[in-house]
Amino acid sequence: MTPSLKLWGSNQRGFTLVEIMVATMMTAAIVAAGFGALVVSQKTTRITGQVSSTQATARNALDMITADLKLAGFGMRGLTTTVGGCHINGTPYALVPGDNNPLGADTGPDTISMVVPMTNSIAAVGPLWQVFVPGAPGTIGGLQTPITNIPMPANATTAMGNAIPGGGAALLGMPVSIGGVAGSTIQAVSPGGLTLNPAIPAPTAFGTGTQVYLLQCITYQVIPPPDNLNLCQGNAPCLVRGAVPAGLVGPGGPPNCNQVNSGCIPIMDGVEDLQLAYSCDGCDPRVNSGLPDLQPDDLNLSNQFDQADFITDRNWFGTAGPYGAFMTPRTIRLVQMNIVARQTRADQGMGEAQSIPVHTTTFPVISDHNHATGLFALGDTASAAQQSDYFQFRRRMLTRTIELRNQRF
Amino acid sequence: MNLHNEKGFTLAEVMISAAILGVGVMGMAAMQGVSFSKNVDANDLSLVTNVAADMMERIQSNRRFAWAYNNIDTTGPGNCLAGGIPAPAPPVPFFSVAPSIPATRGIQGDCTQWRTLVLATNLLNVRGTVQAAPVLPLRPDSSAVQLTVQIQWNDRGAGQRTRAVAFQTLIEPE
Repeated sequence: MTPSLKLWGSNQRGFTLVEIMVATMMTAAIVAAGFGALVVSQKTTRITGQVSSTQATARNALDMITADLKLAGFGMRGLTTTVGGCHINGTPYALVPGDNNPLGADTGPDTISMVVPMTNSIAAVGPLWQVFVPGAPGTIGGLQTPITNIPMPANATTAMGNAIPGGGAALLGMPVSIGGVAGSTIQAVSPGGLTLNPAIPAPTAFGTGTQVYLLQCITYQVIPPPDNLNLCQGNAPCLVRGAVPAGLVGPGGPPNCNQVNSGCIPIMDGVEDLQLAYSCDGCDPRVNSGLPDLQPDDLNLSNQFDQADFITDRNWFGTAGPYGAFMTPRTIRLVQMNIVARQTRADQGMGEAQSIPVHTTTFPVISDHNHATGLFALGDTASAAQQSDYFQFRRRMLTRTIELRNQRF
Repeated sequence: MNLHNEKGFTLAEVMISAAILGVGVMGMAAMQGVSFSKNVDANDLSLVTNVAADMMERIQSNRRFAWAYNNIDTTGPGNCLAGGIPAPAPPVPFFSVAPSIPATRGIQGDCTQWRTLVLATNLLNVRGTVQAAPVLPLRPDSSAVQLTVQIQWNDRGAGQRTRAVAFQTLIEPE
């Protein structure tokens, strides 16, 4: 027993305490470093995601409004009635600006409404929604013939009824434009086409295959929190877009999405501010006697075209003001649009719930809207608590000047 | 017998392996920086794209005088005022009408306002240029120009690499 014990015992060696301690410390250091890297990586992933989605929000919102602005007024030629809520005191306009505060600097986002063809339904039933006259001569109208009916392929009106909100009944009374050049209103709908009132006067003729467009008045608006009507579906603030029914548009103001049954739907979460400025031609009687000269009017008479020639404050619904009846939305040629997007939620990463991150401490000034005086309403960034809420969001701002290509009204 | 050959790692071996692991961990940390700087780059890119689109729209809006925007350069004090912009008209037979006083102000104003926008991006060495070259062969019934709006800048990385965005389009005024 003893010899064998000695044999085994003498050759067996464990780790010394020092070795164990050194090894443990090194392991701990390595694990700590690895964990630190993991934490940092998780935070960056989260922040990168938020930042890039904020950037995408600003860019997408800008692109969507740009696309509609370029179309604004398309199809209004020949139309004698207003389209939805796009009118100022009863006069139809392709563009209806809604300034947050017409009397001076803004304390909230602007709105804008415009007449555009209903492109989503064109995408759905476009090929059906065309003038269709089988056999010769294949046209409607003519030298002596006013147009009172638009014949269409079978099922066209049914398919359109299925494609638009409100169904086929919603078609009645809708403004419609043949090829974007002759407009009227739908009086009756039959399986074979549309009856118009008033008639499109002669001499006009359209051939089979001419696209027919439904027109609508689209409003863009930023809905601030608290969104009591839940237009943003819990993600206020957001940008909404929709055709506010004409009955809900009161006199003396632009269409408002922030009311019951407005029909506006959220298109972009995290849009916090929309500011618009307009440059116009033929809107100032002091410039070229108020006649359009294809150049932006020099509103501040500085003898140069500068930023001050873009109007930011104006009550488009009043006839008062320095330029009275000269300055109507139909004189607007360029729209300068500013979009502010923010993260849809504040950073709540590891440990950030305890320490609220502050990303900047200066309030941005967007066009005539200084966020220091109020983001959505006057004074809502005044208190220290409100400011700390404001500054925990990252923001992205984009500006673009857009030409109105179809503006004729 | 083989019990005698049992050996652990030496301290040196462990330290070398720790160092190698450390390099790996550092690499991962560096990746965070890269992803962050790419994000900043992406933001710069969307700012710049937007500014370039702004000028494109302005020229489209004033397309009769697209040729007059040739050689806009925001470097230094810019060349937006008389002597620089409006640019001299391309030689006949290119069809052009001399811009009126308000039109000249419009063109110069577009240039000045655009220069302000370009500089407001706050990018390093940012420079915006516009080239408006008449489409060849020159014809008396056309004032078509090939338009290039370009913005270049140095990115925020250590190398300050030169970046550029260019938009091109053909403008054929009515």
